[in-house]
Amino acid sequence: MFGTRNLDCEHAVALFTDYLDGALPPRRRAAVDRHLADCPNCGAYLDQLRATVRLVGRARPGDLPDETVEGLLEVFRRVRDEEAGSA
Amino acid sequence: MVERLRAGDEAAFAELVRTYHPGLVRLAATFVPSPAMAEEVAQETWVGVVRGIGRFEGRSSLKTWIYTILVNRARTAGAREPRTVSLSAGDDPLEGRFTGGSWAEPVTAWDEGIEDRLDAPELAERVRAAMASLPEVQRQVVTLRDVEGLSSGEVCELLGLTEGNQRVLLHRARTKLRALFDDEFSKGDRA
Repeated sequence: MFGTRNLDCEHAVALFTDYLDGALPPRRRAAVDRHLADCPNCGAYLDQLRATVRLVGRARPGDLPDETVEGLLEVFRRVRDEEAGSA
Repeated sequence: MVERLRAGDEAAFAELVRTYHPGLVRLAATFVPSPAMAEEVAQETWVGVVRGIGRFEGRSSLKTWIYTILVNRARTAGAREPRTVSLSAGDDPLEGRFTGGSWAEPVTAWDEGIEDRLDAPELAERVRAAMASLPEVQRQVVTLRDVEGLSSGEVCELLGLTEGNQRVLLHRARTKLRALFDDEFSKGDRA
């Protein structure tokens, strides 16, 4: 479909998720690379997509409070002892 | 780790919980309507893990196995609740941004260092708000891929998606999230 023709921006952008996943076949990936070499707008957009992935990946809450861990340990002990009792 | 769990090792279980519980709650929240239910589903998952660890065969990773238990429980719990329909299901953030295939207006770069300047709670809140606007399955895919760091294959297995489906959903989710961040971060004026 794309062959060795040049991509326009709209098509390049549609391929960016596959591109970031390394899931594009080699010729299509090369077509995206060629487009990016000449297109600062698409380059900026791709940078923003990468930044979006980083931002989302960083938004993880910190450590669990000890009482949550304690509460779950209680669950563990109870189920473990039940399982042992019925073994 | 699996052997330690089977032996009833509490420290091993505590380690597992610290590692995975927050992620389980986050993922459960994409299936059920309230944070309390998400916490409940995550807790039930641990019960399933402890009961089932003796039967775990190691064909998938322990992480994937735990997440599978969670998805099954979350789906069951979610199915019992009335659904709130996402109103933003159809919109395309890039609509009107291209003419003749090229960008109609230049893409405005984000402020350098914006990522470093956001402190953790503020960032978490902005991401949470952005994620809340996504349709449910998009939210699940982007949570598993980009927040929890699962691979494409693992996500497909967990959610019962083809690679193609999964990538389309991820693409839509990231496109929407980027647009939301862009509204907040773009430097310079926008018309």
